[in-house]
Amino acid sequence: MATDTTEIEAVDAGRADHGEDHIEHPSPAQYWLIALILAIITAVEIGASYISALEGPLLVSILLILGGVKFAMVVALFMHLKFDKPLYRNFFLIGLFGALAMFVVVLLTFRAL
Amino acid sequence: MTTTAEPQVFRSPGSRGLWAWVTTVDHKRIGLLYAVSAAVFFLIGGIEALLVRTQLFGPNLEVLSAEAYNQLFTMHGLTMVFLVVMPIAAAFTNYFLPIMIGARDVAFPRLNSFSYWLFFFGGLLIYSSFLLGGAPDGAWVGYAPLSTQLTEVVRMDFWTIGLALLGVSSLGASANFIATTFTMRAPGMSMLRMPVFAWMSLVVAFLLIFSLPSVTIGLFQLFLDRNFGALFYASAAGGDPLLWQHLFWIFGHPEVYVLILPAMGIVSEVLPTFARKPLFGYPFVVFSGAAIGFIGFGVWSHHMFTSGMGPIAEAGFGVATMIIAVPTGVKIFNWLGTIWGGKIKYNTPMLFSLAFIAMFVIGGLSGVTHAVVPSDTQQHDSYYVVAHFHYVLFGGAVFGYVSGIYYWFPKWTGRKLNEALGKVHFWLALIGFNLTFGPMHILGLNGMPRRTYRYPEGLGWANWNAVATIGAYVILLAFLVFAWNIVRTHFLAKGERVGNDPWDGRTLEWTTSSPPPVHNFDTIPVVHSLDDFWHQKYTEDDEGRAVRIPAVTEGALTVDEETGGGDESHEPDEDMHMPSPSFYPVVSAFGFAITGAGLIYLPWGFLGVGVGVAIAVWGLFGWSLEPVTKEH
Amino acid sequence: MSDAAVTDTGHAEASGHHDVKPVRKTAMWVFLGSECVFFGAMISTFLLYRNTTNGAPGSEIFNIPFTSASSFILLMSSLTMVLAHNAFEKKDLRQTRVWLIGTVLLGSTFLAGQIFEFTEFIHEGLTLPASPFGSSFYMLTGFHGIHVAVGVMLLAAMVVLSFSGRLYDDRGLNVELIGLYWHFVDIVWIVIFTVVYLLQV
Repeated sequence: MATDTTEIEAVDAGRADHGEDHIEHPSPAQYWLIALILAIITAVEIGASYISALEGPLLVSILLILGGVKFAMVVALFMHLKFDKPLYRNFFLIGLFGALAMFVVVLLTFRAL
Repeated sequence: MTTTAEPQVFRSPGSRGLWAWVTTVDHKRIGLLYAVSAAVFFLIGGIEALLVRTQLFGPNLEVLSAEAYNQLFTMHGLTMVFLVVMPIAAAFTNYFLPIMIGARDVAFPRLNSFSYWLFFFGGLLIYSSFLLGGAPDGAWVGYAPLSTQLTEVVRMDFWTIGLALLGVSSLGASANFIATTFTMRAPGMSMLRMPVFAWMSLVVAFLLIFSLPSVTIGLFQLFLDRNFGALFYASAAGGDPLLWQHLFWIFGHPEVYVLILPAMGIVSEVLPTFARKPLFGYPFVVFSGAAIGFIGFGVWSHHMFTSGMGPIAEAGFGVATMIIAVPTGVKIFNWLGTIWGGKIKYNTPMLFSLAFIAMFVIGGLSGVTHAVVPSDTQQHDSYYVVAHFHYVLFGGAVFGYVSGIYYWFPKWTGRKLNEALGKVHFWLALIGFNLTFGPMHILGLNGMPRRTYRYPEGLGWANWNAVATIGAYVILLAFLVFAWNIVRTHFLAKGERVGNDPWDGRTLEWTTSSPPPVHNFDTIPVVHSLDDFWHQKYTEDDEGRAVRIPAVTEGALTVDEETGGGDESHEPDEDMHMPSPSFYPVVSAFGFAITGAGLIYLPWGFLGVGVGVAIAVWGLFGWSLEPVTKEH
Repeated sequence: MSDAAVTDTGHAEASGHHDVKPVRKTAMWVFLGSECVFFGAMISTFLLYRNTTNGAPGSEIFNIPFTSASSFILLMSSLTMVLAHNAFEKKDLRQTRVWLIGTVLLGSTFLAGQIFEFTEFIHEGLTLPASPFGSSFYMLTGFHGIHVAVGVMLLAAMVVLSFSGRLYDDRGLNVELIGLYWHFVDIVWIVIFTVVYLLQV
């Protein structure tokens, strides 16, 4: 539960110097590039779902991986989680993976996965 | 509330009297509001329990109608969990978390006020059902399909909507406490210098943040099933009622730790103070608390061993449940280690804390028997389970909180509760409690199912039920003594006046006046170690005994060592701008409650929904746009 | 939901600490972590009932080209949002306003598309009471839609504030916090689009 001392010191340090240390965020041009990549991945996803040769587990894994990449890119780059305090990352990841683990187990007890 | 002459605290005067309490954003006042509300609901929930026990006094009694009985046991459970234990924990957290970590208030004072008022209106909404056709009667767990089938009455809608409102309230409070703990600690107050109570409050906030959404979704699904013909739990249409049990217990099991961990935190403060020794193995207590919280998310299905999940799931959840006994046991041993060899003062807070340990061990041990699936299959839904969770939640949690009330009452009011009355209260409560719930183990093992309205003669249940009912009235007597003690001490002003530090305490709340000023500290303390206040007062001699440092007066503020120790350089902080009172939080909370009330009475309740949303939006906008601190 | 709107102003300032920002950002990230569980519960409900159609229409009525277009719109609204935030950080009021308005428009278009899609589905017989599939589909996408609507309202409020020159007043919410919320709503849709739409047809 976010007890890593370095984070704690980071919080303390953040308080000491009145605000956040500004690590460079991407520039607008880079944001456009990221959006372009996201759009291309989306196109690939949609295309893949129409290729009947990919039916079954292969398609499922391709779509899940591509969706995961998009998810990670938005969280890391648009939401600046890559640059921000590890504390925020921990809060979010606990929620994300906690939910994932719990609900996978729920669905397994229903034999629904 | 007095303001000291120096330093100047800017705080708009606001109104006096009731309005000042309604619009308050002071964490200490909000804490007291939580405490008073919890006390009122404790009385109501207690009366409900007594009625239930009276009905069960002997075989074939008819004190209550079966309908009334169902409503009363449902409301008793609901009240005690959501309207008594959670708010009393919130009361302590509100009042002491900021002071313990050396902050002047919580991170979001108005969100704090909003959380309280949403809790207040949610409780009011649930209780208004008694006047509007009957209270919820599908048990506090509201299992589908029972809870979805009673569509001709609105009773269970009061429960779904009420719980959803309470959930939003708790989410707000938890986010607030987490932000407070992570961003507002005093200089030097590193995480591992925080008092255990602050730690447990933090763990509880995380538990709520990550578990409440699950039951919220379940509640919405139930609501849609009941009112809009959705089929989430309709087995005839392919829905699966077991889904509700999962969504409920993913919340419901962490909730159990939400109820007990703050009490464990209180006990971890009380024991070292009255054993006059530091807490034994502080990091172990902290990390085992966090571990209980973490593992607590992986054991929810042990409430569902008889639902046919299959042997793999049952074995897995059974093992996880056994594992959770390990960090719990670690805590017990640490508490024993704390009092071992200490100069124990047996006053009322200490007695309740010691009883907490004993009762909690009994409840914990019967809990471990539930982890064994075959054994649990026998005990499921029997009085054995009722005995188990009352040992944990009453003998455990409630005793812990009562201990906290005795311990911190001087800080709240400046007066100590009467010791003699306190001891009467303690012994009556302990005896009454064991008379009530001890026999339930036997009743359960003899096959008496829980939620039983009447039982016939000749099953061998009559005597133990009679004992349990008598015990319940002894508990009533105990808490009447407690109530009298509080009235006498505070309202009749007969209690002994005390200074800042009546117990020779260890944590920061004892450095400030009783009751603390609006701004808590004239100077934000600088913390150098765990139990910093203790180390300012005491040093160790060669044999490791505590020796009082004469120079430091009781309740003195921290003096930075580098600025010359003894020199009382009490430089107060620059002018402090405390947040102004605001009525927008209460308006927003009221809007939410009206929205909820409208949802109960659909379709014409849509009018109420419209009005409620309008009020809530007005409140939220006013809230976002008003400045935190008004100019003079 | 409205929890995002109740984030208070940085009171930390009042108590002597001067870092206002992380207080609210910390609370926002905690809230988003909590929202993961919120949507996780609904997505699992949908997965549980994905084949329980009771004779009513199931995933075969999904219009993938249409939903792909609206997914693309929502994805691009994340771009406009991050550009608005970028301009906001640089104190470029005009650019901030332009990108905020762009985000509002894209979000509204997405909502309009969702309303259109719901009407179509209802015509074809997929309603909330039609089947557990219908119940869970509408609950999941409906709650997501409510989140988008709340986001659009918050962004619109920022646009109004930008005209009255109060965008930098730092009271309650600001562009950065709303941006975090908005991106979160977008990533939830990334999951929904993959799991609910693409994987089911």
